[in-house]
Amino acid sequence: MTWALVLGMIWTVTSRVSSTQPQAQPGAVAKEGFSAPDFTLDLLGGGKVTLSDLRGKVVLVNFWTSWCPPCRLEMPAIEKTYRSYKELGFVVIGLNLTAQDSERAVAEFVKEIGVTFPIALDRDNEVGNLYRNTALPTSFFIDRNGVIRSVIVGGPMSEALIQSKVEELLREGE
Amino acid sequence: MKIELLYIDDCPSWETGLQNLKSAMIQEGLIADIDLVKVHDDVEATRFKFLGSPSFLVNGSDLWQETRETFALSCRIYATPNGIKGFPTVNMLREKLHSLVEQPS
Repeated sequence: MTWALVLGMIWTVTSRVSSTQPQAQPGAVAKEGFSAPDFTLDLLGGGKVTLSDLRGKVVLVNFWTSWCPPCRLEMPAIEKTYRSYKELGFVVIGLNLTAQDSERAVAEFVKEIGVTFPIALDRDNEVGNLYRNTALPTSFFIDRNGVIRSVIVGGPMSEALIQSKVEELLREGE
Repeated sequence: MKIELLYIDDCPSWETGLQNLKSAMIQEGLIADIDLVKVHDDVEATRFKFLGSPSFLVNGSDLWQETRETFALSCRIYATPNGIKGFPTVNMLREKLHSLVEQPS
């Protein structure tokens, strides 16, 4: 009985050891009004991005794949908005579900469109799982405090829609 | 039993989804027509409460229901035993269909 209790305590402690994989953080749920779950991913072309490092900026996390037509259609509008507002503190993470894509196709599409914002590679769908992503494209608008303020499932989003959401969140920090 | 497959032309996975649905129905001994419903725009997506392409509906209910407030054109992804895919596996569809057959409404 005592041994069972001790083993149970050991299991409880060891199961709490954190790993390097993205996982649900306490209080972090990928829904409007909740803190955006944190993640670190490799970037296309090298380097890494960590969402929490962008605290203080307005962030659009856009889940996409190169074979998803609505994703492709909205990418130029996202790029245009990014170029217009990046100096004001707007950041885009193009979060490619690389588990369902190929890095070659991603690179070709990014070059074709002339995307200049960082493209993060979710090779094992870890962040897709973390954000409970079930459709493409899906966009999370995150405010300067790291809170998800708006989730758009499907697309393509119009440039006007993206701009209005970004402007609203940027104004809050003024 | 009314079975529908909602899709948009451009998402490439719906045809595999249809084949898997047909296989699942055969293996479950279900005989029914499959209505292919093409979703053209956000208005239709809203009308159909479209959760992405492909979506599988039985008697008007999505086999993988989700709570969503707005609807638009999108490509759906499914968590399969082999990772995320653009369609559910035959076994995933069989399980859903089997549970519906066992518990007729």
